[in-house]
Amino acid sequence: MLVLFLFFCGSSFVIASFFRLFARAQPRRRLPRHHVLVTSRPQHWTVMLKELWHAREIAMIFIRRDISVQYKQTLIGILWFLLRPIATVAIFATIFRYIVRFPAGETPYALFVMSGIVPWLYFSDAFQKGINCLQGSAGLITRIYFPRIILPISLLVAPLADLGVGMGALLLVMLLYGVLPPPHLVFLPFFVLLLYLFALGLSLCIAGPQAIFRDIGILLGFALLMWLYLTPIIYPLDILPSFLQNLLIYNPLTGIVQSIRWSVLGYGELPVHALGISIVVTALLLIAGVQVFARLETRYIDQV
Amino acid sequence: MSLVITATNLSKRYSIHIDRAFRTFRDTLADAFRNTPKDKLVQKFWALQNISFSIRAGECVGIVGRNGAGKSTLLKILSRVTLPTSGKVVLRGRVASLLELGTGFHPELTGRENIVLNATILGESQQNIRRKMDAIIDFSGVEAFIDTPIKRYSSGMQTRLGFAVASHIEGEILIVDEAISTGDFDFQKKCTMLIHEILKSGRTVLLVSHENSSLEELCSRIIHVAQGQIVQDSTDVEQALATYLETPLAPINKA
Repeated sequence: MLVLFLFFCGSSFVIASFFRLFARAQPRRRLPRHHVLVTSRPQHWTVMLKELWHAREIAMIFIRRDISVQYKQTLIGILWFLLRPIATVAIFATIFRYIVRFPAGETPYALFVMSGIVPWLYFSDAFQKGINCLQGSAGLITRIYFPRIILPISLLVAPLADLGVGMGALLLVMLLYGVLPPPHLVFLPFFVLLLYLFALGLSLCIAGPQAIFRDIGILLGFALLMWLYLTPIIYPLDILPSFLQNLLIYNPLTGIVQSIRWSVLGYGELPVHALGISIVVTALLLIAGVQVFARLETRYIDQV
Repeated sequence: MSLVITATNLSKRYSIHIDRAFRTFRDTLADAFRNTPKDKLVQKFWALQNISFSIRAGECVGIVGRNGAGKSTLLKILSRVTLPTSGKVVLRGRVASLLELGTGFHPELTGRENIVLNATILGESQQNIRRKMDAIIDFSGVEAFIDTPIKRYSSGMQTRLGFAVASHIEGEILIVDEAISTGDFDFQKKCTMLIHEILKSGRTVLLVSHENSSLEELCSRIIHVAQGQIVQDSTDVEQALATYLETPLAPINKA
């Protein structure tokens, strides 16, 4: 574990120096409202927070725009977004029920898969939207100024609506199977928030490099495909040999998916250890991500 | 009179990657292991070099210079759309700008939705936007298409709407980069009148234009930029424009 940790620290240091991320930020200054100092250095984080707060209405407009584009024709819109989780579940359920046969305890396999696929579809959507947030809005950010960090923050909110629809569908299917959600369903919003923050942290780290080097997105397409199989979504974690189980716990999505499953289906126990890892990794990613996103601004702004 | 913009030793350098339409991580890695000297792969180009000036509230400054002289880069930095390589700018007030490449509109949204988006980004409150909506639509003259997505607009219509929004919000500084000239004669006249009004209310205007007659009519000061440097900064508008016209053509893109 220590070797892995040192390897990650070492490689992030190399990547960070490659992108010249250790440049100094502007010193802290108090300026009157609407007064701005523009230099090549990123702004002090207190100034960034203040700007972000004043720009919250812009985020609201972006969120409303995304959701209304998604659900333009309400009825067909919702059916459309149900189609994807249901089709995915149907494929996996058929393959793994009749061909591979994973034991999922007393829980019907379709419910087991669906409770993992719905958060996964959110993550993969959010991740793809997040890392492409700068290129997708190139027309806007090269013509008018607003705190660019608003883009990933607001773009990742609209897919949450799909997640809600998917969860609603899951609850309906559960009723069909005669399975009732356990009382710890009330913790679901917390786990969804964690999933959002994890996707945000990751997007903040990658969006800048992705805007500078276009081929990073292609690599990440492969990574995402692998990630699906490295997360206990279509198979239960406990069928793996114990050394693999211990390794997969360090995938932050493991803790989140297992917790969502616990709260919606009552499947297994609350994975305290894995969840703790997810929370720590998410916090680290967010801190690093804000820094990377702000410091790369001088570069991606001329290259999107 | 108080200063609204102070620029000190402003420089902007662009890196041009030769023979590359866009950068990929693969190429960068490959180049790192190759022996090609770096200056053969990347050309450095100074778009602005050590520019310093300050602008007082209520001034109308015309910025002139040939294509590629650095005018647009300068206005982009003042609009915070790009960051300087060195030097600093202090902006004392909100900046509403209309840059060369068109306005910051979202192509999928309708004209009305874009007015809200744009005005919000420029710092206007929702209440004020609702109050000014009719005036903005009226000034733009695109009422008939206001609920049509912007991507169906002609460039002239987009400019009209963009100028209408930028000029109706209560920002302290208005920047217009050649945008007005895409409008028709009638619209240009309307813009000139509106800029007069904006100036009267004590706000500051920065204009880039290749039409000397409109600069002469509006501006109280001319800044002449050539090859990334200020060659002339004077309040004698007529004389400055005359000198600008007499300067011999310099080749574009000299580093």
